[in-house]
Amino acid sequence: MRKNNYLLAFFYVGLPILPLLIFWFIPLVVSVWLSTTDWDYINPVIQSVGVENYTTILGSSEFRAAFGNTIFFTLWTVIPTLILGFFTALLIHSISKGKTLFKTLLFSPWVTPTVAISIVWSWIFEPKVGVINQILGFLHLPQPSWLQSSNFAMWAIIIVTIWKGIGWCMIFYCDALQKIPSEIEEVCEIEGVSYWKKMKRVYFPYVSPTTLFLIVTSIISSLQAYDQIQVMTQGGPSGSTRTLLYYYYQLAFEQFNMGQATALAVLLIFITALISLAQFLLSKYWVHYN
Amino acid sequence: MKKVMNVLSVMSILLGISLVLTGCGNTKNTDSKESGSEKTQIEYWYGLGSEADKKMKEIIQEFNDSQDKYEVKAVPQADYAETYQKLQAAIASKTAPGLAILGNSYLADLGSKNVLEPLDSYLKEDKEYNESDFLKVFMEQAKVNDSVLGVPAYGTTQVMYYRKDLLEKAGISPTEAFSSWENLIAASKKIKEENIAEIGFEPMWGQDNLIDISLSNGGTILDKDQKKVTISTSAWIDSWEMIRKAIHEDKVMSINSGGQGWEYWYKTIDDVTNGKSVGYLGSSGDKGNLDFSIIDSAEQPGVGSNQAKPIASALYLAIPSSIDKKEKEAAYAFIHYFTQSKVQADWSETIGYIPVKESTLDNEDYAKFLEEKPYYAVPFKQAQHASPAFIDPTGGKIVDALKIAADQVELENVPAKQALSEAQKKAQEALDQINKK
Repeated sequence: MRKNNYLLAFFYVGLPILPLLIFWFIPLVVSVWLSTTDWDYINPVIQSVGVENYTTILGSSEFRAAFGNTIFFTLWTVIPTLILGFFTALLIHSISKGKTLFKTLLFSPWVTPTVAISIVWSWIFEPKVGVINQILGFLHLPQPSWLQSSNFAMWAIIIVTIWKGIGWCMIFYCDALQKIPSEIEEVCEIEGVSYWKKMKRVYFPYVSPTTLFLIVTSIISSLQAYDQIQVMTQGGPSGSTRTLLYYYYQLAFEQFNMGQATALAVLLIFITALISLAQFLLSKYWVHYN
Repeated sequence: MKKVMNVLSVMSILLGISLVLTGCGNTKNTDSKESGSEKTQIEYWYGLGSEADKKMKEIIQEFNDSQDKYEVKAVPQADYAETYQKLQAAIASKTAPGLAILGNSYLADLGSKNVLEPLDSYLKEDKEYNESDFLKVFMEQAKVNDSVLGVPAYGTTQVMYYRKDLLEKAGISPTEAFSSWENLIAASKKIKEENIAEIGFEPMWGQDNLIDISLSNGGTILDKDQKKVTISTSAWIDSWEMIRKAIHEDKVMSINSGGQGWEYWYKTIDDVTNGKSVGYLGSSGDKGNLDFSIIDSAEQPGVGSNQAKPIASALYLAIPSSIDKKEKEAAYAFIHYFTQSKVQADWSETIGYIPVKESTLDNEDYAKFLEEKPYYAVPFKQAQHASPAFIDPTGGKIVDALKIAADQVELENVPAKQALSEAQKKAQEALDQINKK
C-alpha cells in the first residue's frame, strides 16, 4: 500500500473515532473524575472528596430502594417483552397475508415518543374515568388507583413499557425467523415434527443470537427508564417508582448534588457493563451462531 | 476523478467539523452591556408565566419609561427552578444577567457560594429604604451571614378557600369552622352527614400543607442548633394522623394526586367549583381561578389552641456579584422601583401575591381595592404570623423524606407514626452527613 493510501486509511478510521472520543470517552472520564469531587456547578474551586460520594450513595436507603425498584422493573419488563415479542413474531411468521400491516401496527408504539405514550396511558389509568377501571367496574372487579398507589404504580409503568417494547422485539424476531432456511421447515413438516419440538430444535436455536441482542439492549433500555416515570408518577407515590436513573435526576437537578449524582451515574454504567458481560459470558452455553 | 472525489469528501468533512467546533464556542452575552444610547442595559430573569409575566413586562416598561439611565430587558424563564439552573450556568460561564428572581432556598444556596452581590451598601444609600416596613417573615430569609442578598419582591402562603353558599346551607359559620383544624374536620363531618357535599375540605396533595399543619401544632423541622431533625415528635404525628383519619377512615377529606403538571391542583379547585367539596387549601395566587361571588377565603387554622403558623415564603430580587458596577446600579434601581408601595399594590392587585411592605396597605388605591375584595387581604394577614420557609440544609433530602411520608399518609393510609419515623431516620442520616463536613 502506498503512503498516501495509509494516510487516507488512518483518516477514515480516525473520523468515526474522533466524535467517539469527544462525545463519549472524554465525558466518561470527566464524569468519573467529577464523581470524586464536591462540584456544585458554580464554585470554580473543585475539591476532591475521594470515594465519599460512592460510600454515601451506597450507604443510603434511597439508593437501596431505587436499586430494588430498578431490578424489579427490569425483570418484569425485559422477560415478558421478549416472550410476547417472540410469540407475536411467530404469529406473524405463520400468517400468509397482512404481515406488513401487523408489523407496522405493532411497531408503531416503539417509534412514538415515550412522553406522548405516557400521557395517554396516564388517562387510561385514571382511577375514575380511565378505560381500565371502567372495564374493571363493568366486570365488578376492584378498581385500584393505579398511579396513586405504591402497590400498583410500578405495575402500571411496567405495562406501558412492555406495550411499547413488544414491537421492537417482534421486528427483530420476525427478521430472525425469516432467515430460517425454508428446507428445514419443510423437512419438519414432512417428518411430522411436533410444534413444541420444532420450537425447541429449530426456532429457539435459530433466534438465540437475536435473543441475546434483545436481552442486552432491553436491559440497558430498562436501566435507562426515565420518561414514563417522569410523566406518570415522578418517582412516587412514596418513592415506589423511583428507579436509579430517576434518582440520578433528582440528585443532579432537584438537589443539585452533582458529585453524588455522577457517582450514581458511574455506578449505573458499572452495573450495566457487569450485566452485559455476564450475559456474553453465559451466552456460549445457549447462543447458536450459524 | 476518484482522487478529486476523495479530496472533496475530505474537505467537506473538515468543513463540517470546523463548523461544529466553532458553533460550540463561547458566545458572549452582549445584551447586558451599555448600548449606543448610553443607557445601561441589563437582563432580568424571572420564572413567571401568563398573567404574571404580562404584568411584570408592563412594570418593566413603566420603569424603563420613568428614567433614561437604565434599561431592563425581560427574559422570562419556565419557572423558578429553571431560572436557578440557568443562573448557575450563567454565573459559572461569566454571562450572568443583571437581575434574577429567586426562591429563598435558592437565594440561601447561591448566597453560601458567595456569588450574589451583598445589597447592604445599596440599601444604606437608598433614603426610602426602611427594613422595618418589610414583612419580618420575608426579611429574615433575605440575609445570609448578616448581609442582605435579596430584596423580597412578593410573597406567597397557602390559605383556605371555601364555598360560602354550601357552608351557609350546612349552618356552619366560617369563623367557627376555621378556628381550628379540629373544628374544620368536625365541619367536614357535618357537611358529609347532611349531604351538603361529598366531602368537606381538601388539603392539596404533597408535603407542604401537612408541614403547615404540623407547624400550626407547635412542631418544628429542626431543633435550634440545626443538628437534629424533629419531624417525628407528637406535634407532627398527631396532626398528620388527624388528617390521615379524616381522609381514610372518616372519608370527610380527600386528595387529588398525580396527573400532568398542575393537574391535581386544578382538579381540587374543580371539586370546590362543582360543589363536590366545600373548600380547599391552596395558594394565595389561586385567586385568578376562583369565582368570588360564591367563594370566600380564610386564614389557615391552628391545631387545638395553637396559633396557626403556616409557611409564608417570598421570592427575592437578587444581583449576581460577577457583573460590573453600572449593571449592579441599574439592577438596584429596578429593585427600588419594584418595591415601592405603589408598584407593590399594582402587582398584588393583579396577581394576588402578598405585597412585601406593610406600607402597601397605606396606598389609597390598594386600601380601596381591599375594601372591595377583602379576600385579597387574607394572605397578607396570615403572613404576619407565618413561619419562614424551610431551607433544607441537606439540599433537599429532608424535604424528599417528608414528600415520601406525605404520600404514605395521604394516599396509602400508612399510620403517621410509621411514615414520619421512617422519614425522620432518612432525614437525620442526611443531616448528620452534612454536619460531619
